[in-house]
Amino acid sequence: MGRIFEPLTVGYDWEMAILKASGENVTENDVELLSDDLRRKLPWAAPGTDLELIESRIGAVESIPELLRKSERFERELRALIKKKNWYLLRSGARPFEREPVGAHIHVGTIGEWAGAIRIQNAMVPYAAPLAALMANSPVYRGRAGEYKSYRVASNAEWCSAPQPLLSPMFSRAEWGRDVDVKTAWGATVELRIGDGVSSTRLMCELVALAAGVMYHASEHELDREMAEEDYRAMMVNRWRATKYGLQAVFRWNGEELPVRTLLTRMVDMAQDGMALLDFGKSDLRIIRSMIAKGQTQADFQLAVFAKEKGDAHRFTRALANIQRDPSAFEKYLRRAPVLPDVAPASHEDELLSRIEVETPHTHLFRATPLSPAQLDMVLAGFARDGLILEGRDSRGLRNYTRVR
Amino acid sequence: MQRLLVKVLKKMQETRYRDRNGLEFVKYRLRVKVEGSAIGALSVPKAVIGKETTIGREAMLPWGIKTRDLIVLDPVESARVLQPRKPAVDLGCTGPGRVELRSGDPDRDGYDEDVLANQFLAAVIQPQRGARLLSLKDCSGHDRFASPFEYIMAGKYILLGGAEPVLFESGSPGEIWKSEFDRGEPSVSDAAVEIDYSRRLKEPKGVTIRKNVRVSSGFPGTIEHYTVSYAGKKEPAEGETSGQDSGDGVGDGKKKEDRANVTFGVRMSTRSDGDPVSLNVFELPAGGELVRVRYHRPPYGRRWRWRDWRDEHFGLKPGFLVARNEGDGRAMAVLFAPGSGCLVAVRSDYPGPEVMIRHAPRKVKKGGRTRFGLAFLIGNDAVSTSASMFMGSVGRGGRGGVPVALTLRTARRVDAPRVAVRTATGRRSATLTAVDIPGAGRVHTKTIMLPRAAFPLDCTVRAGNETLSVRLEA
Repeated sequence: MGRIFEPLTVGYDWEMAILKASGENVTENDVELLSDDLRRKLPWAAPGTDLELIESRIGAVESIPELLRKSERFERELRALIKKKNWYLLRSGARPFEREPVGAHIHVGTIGEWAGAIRIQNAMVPYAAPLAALMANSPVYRGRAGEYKSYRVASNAEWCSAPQPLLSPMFSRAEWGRDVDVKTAWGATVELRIGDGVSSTRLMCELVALAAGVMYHASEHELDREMAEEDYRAMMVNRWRATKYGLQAVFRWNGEELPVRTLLTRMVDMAQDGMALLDFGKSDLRIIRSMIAKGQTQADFQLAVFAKEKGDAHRFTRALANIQRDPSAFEKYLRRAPVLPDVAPASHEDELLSRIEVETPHTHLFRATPLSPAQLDMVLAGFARDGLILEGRDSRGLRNYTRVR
Repeated sequence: MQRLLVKVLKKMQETRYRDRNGLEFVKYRLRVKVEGSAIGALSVPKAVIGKETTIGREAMLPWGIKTRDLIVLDPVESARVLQPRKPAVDLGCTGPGRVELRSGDPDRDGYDEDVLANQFLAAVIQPQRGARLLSLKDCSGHDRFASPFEYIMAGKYILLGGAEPVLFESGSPGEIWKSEFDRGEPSVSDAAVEIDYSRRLKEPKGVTIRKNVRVSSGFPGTIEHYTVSYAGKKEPAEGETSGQDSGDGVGDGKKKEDRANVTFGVRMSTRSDGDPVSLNVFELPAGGELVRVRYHRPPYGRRWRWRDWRDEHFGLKPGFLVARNEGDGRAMAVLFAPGSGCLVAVRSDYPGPEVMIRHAPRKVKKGGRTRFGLAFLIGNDAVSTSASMFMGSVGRGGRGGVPVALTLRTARRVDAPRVAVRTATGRRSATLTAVDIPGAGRVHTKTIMLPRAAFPLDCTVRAGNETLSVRLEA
């Protein structure tokens, strides 16, 4: 069997918010006109709109240095255009007080075979969570803060990045909106959708290299890996821990507790063969390696700014947009930032139990967990067995749960 | 709530320091000038533009604040600029048998609100934001409405809270929610206080919406009357075509009647608090049964979705809706015309629930008008069935005792219903009197005075073959 990715190519669709002076998003029409200006200046780039966000799409390339070069050029033009209009660029996983999260989606190709692509998607189940931890960048979302470093992933990006199931290569069909999606029904890539919007062009290109390297490794070595139910459950709990703790998370991995930073260090090693095909080396992952060394994410940077803005989402948005006038703000922060310790994880089951009040609908709990519905049922059955909750039915026969106090 | 956008004029003081993580920060005293509202959709008083003030700020280095930078003031900082020395307006209830109209700026947004109060409630009307009923507080200061300030439609519409009138023909989200209404001369007597508010809409053209708010002594609620009038299309100048042909482009000579469609509604952000928050329920008779919708706070804030069929309730024959907390009994009833309201939509997936009452569309001829009525009743306990609602309201007491209002709304035929009141010290009864609320149907109500020692009260009334009981604490 030949290589599945032939040739290995990468790209992204990277959403960014364009703000007015007040900190509110510009209109969809404004973004359309901005995209038009950008396409006139950079015919090779294909930026466009996603609702009222601008989406940078550089196209498929076979080299990360080329991606970096084009991305930097794009950023310069974008910044020049919005400066003329007195607008501001906000690169984050969420706008702090306006709706809809903001993602950075990484595409790895070129792939045409459906069954092979699905096997890669399955093989990426364990790696989606550590990549989400690395990309955590939405700690303030709709005025809320303090529970998650990635509210975007915790809320499944409004069902634009839902926890992925294990799929049968033969019986699966094209779907959209999972942490990792196969796009071969209408494209030629496997897409990593779980990542929050990224605040630095250099970091974005490094993330593309790492994700492509890991996916390439999976395509070469991990297509036939079996996953037991308890392993899948651990991976889903890891996803939840990633949203909560970012790079301070400790994962459940092969039956042991393992800091996500250790796991990512291993992933950097395993990505080397694929990255080499993209003219990129381990030592080129400058920002990522520094993040892993310090346990710092873009979310931690945001939270440090948020604290100084007294927890006010509007003040914070304006202040963050001012800071992000500096294109390399995160790199500068990272150089100054302290090493953060690993955090012993809270229990996901305890969090689920805390969400059960009076006649709490099953669907609310389903939305609050990355566990599969069957696994959630098992957890709820356990709560009921222990006398912690009572199961009921509403007038339409739908399940609900009441906490026994 | 108001947030101001300001420009930094001058850095008056800078102090550098390192936090315990070794990150370097700088503390500033900044002289700033108001540029306008930080909320594009919402206005600020013109007089505040250009005003200067001094604020404190901190910034992480190397991203210090620069002169000419724009920054946002939070609501407390903004209020200091907007209402620097104005005394707070009283939001409490009056003594028994009195009504009051007060004016002030309780939310310190730079615009005055009207506070209408009696012994049961204090209602805040916000003329600057669609003449909405912003707040409805009982005598303990508990508000039945919330002010979520939730961004919706990417800044085009913000859920500001309270109860806002909606005219669906005005567009989505339309202009009413953020528009200034003209305030008429208030009428204040011993028995009642009332005020008119009005606005001529840009869309639909020729439509004026007028709102009258009334608070009466002894009645535990506010009554709102809306009159929507249509002035008609502008007459074409001589030589211009009328544009009022049948529309087939040929001109059949028949003049199309000039009339406007009017679909009136009210959008409410009811308060949901307490622990657990799911003790908050909505009860509404719809389709011949009592529908109960329990509020569940969504896991990660509001999820984007269209309102779906599960939120919608039709067949609203008795014309009421009750929002009630099962834990403490506090309730609010909204009354609307039996047979006129066509849809109640309750969405429980906002950070606070959103309730919409929508009336059936009406057609208004040129020069004509149509009326709608609403009443918001505040209570300490309420009980509902598929046909009736019975509420007990405890007001602010005085030397003469504590006022207790007992109110029955029912679709059943009743004649001078009697309430049996079992007190801590004995029994008594009260005969309810029928009160017609134009546009919102009939209630039977009575206010009695009881000594504080009489509490708790168990009050029972019969409506048809139903027995309804509430329990009231002082």
